[in-house]
Amino acid sequence: MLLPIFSYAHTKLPEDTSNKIISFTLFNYDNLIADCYEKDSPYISQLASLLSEATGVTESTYYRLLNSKEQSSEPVPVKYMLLLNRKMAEASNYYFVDE
Amino acid sequence: MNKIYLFLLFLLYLISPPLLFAEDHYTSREWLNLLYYEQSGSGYKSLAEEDGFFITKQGKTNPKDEYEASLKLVLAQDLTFKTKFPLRYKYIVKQHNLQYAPAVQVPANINKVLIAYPNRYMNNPASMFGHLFLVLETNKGILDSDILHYIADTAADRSIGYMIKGLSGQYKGWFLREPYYKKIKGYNYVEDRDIIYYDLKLSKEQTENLQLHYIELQNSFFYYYFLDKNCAFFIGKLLNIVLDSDIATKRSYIIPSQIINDLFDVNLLENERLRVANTKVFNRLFTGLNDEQKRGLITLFHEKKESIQADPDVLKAFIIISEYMISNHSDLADNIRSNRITAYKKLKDLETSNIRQTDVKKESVNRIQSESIGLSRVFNNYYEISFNPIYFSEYDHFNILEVISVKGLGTKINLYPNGHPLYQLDLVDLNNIIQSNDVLNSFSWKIKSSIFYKDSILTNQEVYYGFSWNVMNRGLLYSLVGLNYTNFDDISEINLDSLKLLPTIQIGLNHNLTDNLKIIVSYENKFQKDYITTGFIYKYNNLLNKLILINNKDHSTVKLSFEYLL
Repeated sequence: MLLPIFSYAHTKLPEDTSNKIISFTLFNYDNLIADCYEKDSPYISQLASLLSEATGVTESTYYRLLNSKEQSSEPVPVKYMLLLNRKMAEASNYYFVDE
Repeated sequence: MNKIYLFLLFLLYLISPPLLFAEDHYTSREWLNLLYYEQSGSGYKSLAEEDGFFITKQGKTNPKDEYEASLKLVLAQDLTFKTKFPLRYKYIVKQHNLQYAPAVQVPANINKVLIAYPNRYMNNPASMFGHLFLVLETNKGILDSDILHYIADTAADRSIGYMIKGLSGQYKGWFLREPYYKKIKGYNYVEDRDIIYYDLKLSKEQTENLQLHYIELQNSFFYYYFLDKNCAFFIGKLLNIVLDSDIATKRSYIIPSQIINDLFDVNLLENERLRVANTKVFNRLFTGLNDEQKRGLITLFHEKKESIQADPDVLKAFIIISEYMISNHSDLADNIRSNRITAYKKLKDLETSNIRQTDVKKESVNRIQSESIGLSRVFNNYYEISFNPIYFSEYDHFNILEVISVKGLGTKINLYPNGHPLYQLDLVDLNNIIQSNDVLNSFSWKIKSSIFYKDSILTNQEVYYGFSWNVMNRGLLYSLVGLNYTNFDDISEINLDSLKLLPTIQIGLNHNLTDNLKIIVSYENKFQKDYITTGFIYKYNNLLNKLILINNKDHSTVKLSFEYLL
């Protein structure tokens, strides 16, 4: 059974917002990874904007987070999303998926 | 009595003046478009199928009653009507100078509307002529945007089943709004099609109206017909609603390129750009690799590597094709994703970025060539006049190696100096000669269905299947086997004794000598005869010039032809 490990300290984002973030992250995982190494990074910019809008934390914070070594080296899409979930919780006290 | 009547009429005018003038509006272009009315006999019939799309029982066939009933609801500021039909509400308010108090707001962050044309996709008959969709681009960019398109639920039907149901209107279709990034993933990495984008010149109000009308479209479905009520037709109808004059009108058939060309003709397109399919880019890169590099690249699909020794050319080719491979070979996804990150890291160390391809901006907007007319001279024999009303030629991008062409309802007349003419109708002529290599093991095929008339009715039906290979990025070598069901040899133009099922072999090479000159050489055993064909094809702007020599043991034929792509 998956336990909501963040619930004691963090707040889950509304379902609509969470679904939007999950969908964008999983659908575009390969392009999000590519963005970390390519000249342009439109997918990271869009996801950073979504996360910033949802949590109030600046886009540049998420931009750094999504370009971090740990995030840009994760080869499994679901793990990438869960890693982002944890990093976002650390940065904003919000999370989007129960683990 | 007359005075009382006139007084009552005057009173009615004071109480409800707009109703008296409703008559002027229910036959207007705008109202008929808004409810998808089409002329039917002496009246009208809407293409919308759900009762919920109308507010009167007879709304589907009676624009007048529908208008008058709508007007009453507008005068009453009926909240349900305003919510369900916000553009009709806006239109009626405007016609009668009423107070505009909308019940719904659409997002104001739509910066522009694009129209996208993913071109022909030969693996699905529904997509052989391409598709059309609109993109509502927000001020945050295209990845934040939605697309708007018409799709039919054809389930898993293919080929014959699809054709029968598609031609007879047995599929339901809907307008759908969905995130751009979801749809584009399918086009980019699953089907891997070329896509042409254009900016549509719409005003802010027209963009708002488009969104308001989409709300209304939630209340209905529309039957899909393969020939004349398809994605192109309904995107055209949708645009008619917001444009100042109609672009999509009733035709016997309609294809996406016609809508693009209609918009081009009325100067509503700008900023054309092209996204080339990744497989085409990959094939070119892969062919340029040596055998060792190719082997190294292939291992990246099958073995997870801690470190990669490959050189940048291999890594770039691997990255270009990686998402296509992940989308089409899920069993390889783990290896590819892991190696992809390693490859990217290595390229970064080598200070190489900008690998992912970007859209190619065109200098100007161009019409899509989808028809052709031709004149040929077969020396010492006959003249040939041809017209292809549907023709997506492999020569529209002349230096592309693949032969992907779609021809429909092509007609030819051969005029002999002494004898009756030969009439030819090519119902379909489809070619999908695409490169196969150690990574993309694609098969090639051709289908042609022709009917001839010269004193009697003759036919030739062809189906070929095989493979083709890239020759040093300059040529395409192909080898096909197939069957002809025929009573007419359309190369030598000789009647056969009877309808026969005959095997055929074709081996050929199309080689690009320059960017606008090709040489073609082929051998075929067809109609139980050996034919060797050699020729040159030269393209000057939209004019194709062909000089072809066909040899068999009995005779040689020289054919000079000029074909203009429209």
